[in-house]
Amino acid sequence: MVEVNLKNVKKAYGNVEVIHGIDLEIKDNEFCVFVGPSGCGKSTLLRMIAGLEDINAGEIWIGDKDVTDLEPVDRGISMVFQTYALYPHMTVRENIKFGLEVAKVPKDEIDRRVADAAKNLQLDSYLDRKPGQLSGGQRQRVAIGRSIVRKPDVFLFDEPLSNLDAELRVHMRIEIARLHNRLDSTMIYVTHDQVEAMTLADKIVVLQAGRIEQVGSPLHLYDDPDNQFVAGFIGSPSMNFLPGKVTSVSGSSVSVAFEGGVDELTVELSQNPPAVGDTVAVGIRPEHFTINGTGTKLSVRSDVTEQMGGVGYMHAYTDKETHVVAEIRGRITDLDKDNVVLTFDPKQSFIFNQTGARLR
Amino acid sequence: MAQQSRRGSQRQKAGFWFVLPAFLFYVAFFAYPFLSTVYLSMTEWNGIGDPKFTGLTNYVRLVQDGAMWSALTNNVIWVVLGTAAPIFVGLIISVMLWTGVKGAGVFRTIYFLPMVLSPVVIGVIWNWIYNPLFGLLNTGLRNVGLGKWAIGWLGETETALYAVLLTAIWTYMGFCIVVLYAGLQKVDTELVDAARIDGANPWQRFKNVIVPQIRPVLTMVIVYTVIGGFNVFDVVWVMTGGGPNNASEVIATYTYEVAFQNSENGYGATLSVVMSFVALGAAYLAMKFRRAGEA
Repeated sequence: MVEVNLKNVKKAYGNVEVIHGIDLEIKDNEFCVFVGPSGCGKSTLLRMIAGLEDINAGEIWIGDKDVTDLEPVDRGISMVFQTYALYPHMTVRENIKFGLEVAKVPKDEIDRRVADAAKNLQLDSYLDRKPGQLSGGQRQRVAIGRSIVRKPDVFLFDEPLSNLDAELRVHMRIEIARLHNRLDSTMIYVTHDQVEAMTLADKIVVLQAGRIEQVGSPLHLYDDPDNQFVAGFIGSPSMNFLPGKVTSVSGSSVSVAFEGGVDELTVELSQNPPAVGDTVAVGIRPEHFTINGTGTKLSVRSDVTEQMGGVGYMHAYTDKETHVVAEIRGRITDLDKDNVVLTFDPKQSFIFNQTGARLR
Repeated sequence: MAQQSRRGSQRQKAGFWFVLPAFLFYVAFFAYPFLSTVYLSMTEWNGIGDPKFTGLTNYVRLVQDGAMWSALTNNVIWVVLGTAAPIFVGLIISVMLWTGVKGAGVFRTIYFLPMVLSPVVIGVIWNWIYNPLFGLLNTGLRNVGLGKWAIGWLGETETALYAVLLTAIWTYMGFCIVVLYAGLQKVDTELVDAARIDGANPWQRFKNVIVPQIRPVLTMVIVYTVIGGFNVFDVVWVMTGGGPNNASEVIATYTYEVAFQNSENGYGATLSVVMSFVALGAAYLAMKFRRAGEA
């Protein structure tokens, strides 16, 4: 059983605290993805788990061992870096076995492990080449090979696919998912790409400015975001937010007049209903819109439509110029671009208060 | 296509004019003097009158010249120690500076300082340090109870060469540190992190990850110190003049004595020519050795 536990972990550079007391539990064999915008602290957090960054407070446990003050090599981890970090003067074989040689693993055991990794990652024919002679995807596989042969308890990935082109990224994403299935080990993966997060993760940790915004399974975060940041970050294209004002509250039934709304939106908010006059944001996912359907109506002016074949993305604006994206199944034809009525089911909308917290 | 190539040839002509001044300078101040020296090396000439062509006589004399061999031996010692010591120490210090010691900028300036001083000034300063009676070194030794070690460093045949060499190492070290430090700025720190994850200790990281990445700079520094080691003149001349009893004589000081004090310009030229080829050969070998290490 190899769980990873972070207990009130903090990190500061000088007087600037960048990680503000993070508590997190990652279960055995779980594929955990740290996701967030640039500068949110996700890579720093990963490097703290790896032991490449000291922490200023808190504890890091891997399995039943407090690794807070241990060197990276003693933590039972391996790491795949964004730029692959292959030693350029060594061949693929030397790169893969370097860690094993340093650990003084017997030679025949090293050869066996290198051969296994090379076979699994289809690197057999490249073993005597140098990294400079390989393509991006091959280099990434070497980096993965180097981390596999050490048989770590926990695999760490720091944006491993961000230097690859779009097609290769999809391919490598699937390879990493396969690797997780095959190795059955705990993996922690950092990315700013929420598609990678959604497709790979058992558990997503959404970070912003050194704090965890929400932790949960991909669909849980999609269906039930805790706040406007998570709602906007998870899902592609992003959720639309329309400013609104609460017009009446009757029990748990709340009515909101919102920008572009033909009529008021009425939703059930039993847990933390707002007061009349409160400013709120109404969140609607692009895929929850239909044109001229039933439900609450939103009047917009259509600007550009991106037709992908099976699906189209209509970029539109409300009368106060708020940008709205609607995902439309099928073909969009015979549209009066200046008078488009988008409709949505109120139950699929989200209401956020002024601080960005979700009202349920 | 025709227009393209016409434009190409115009560009080539323009390039020629750009190169010409440097080329003329090179011919006037390097090629011509060098070829003249080669000619003079095959003559007997006291600097006045016409040189007398003697063929390879000077070269035969050179091979049989014990003083030359003794000076060359000193040069070889100089090259080996004067290259190895500052690069080894310089590498360690520059890596320490690079890993973020507090006040790295101040240290860098301090270490580089010897490079901006003229060799003559350095020679004079170190002459004071080595002064048998009042010098910093001997005073220090006496103060810590090691008075019996306090000798005339530049006056003893056993120590003179090494005392001067130490001065030179101190000077070279600043250069090595600054150049290697600049080279280290290009080292990919993610590779160093990867090596830490792989379990490499600081020495293994240094040897297997950092040094291979600064190889080109290292080669440059080695070539520079090797050539400098064969050509060294000023610091030796200022500090010992090659003495005592030729103990710190190097080829350049020997050549100077032969050519300008004994007025044997022909033989002096022979020594210069041989030295140039020795230095070139050594630099070539050093580069080849580094390249073999890279392959």
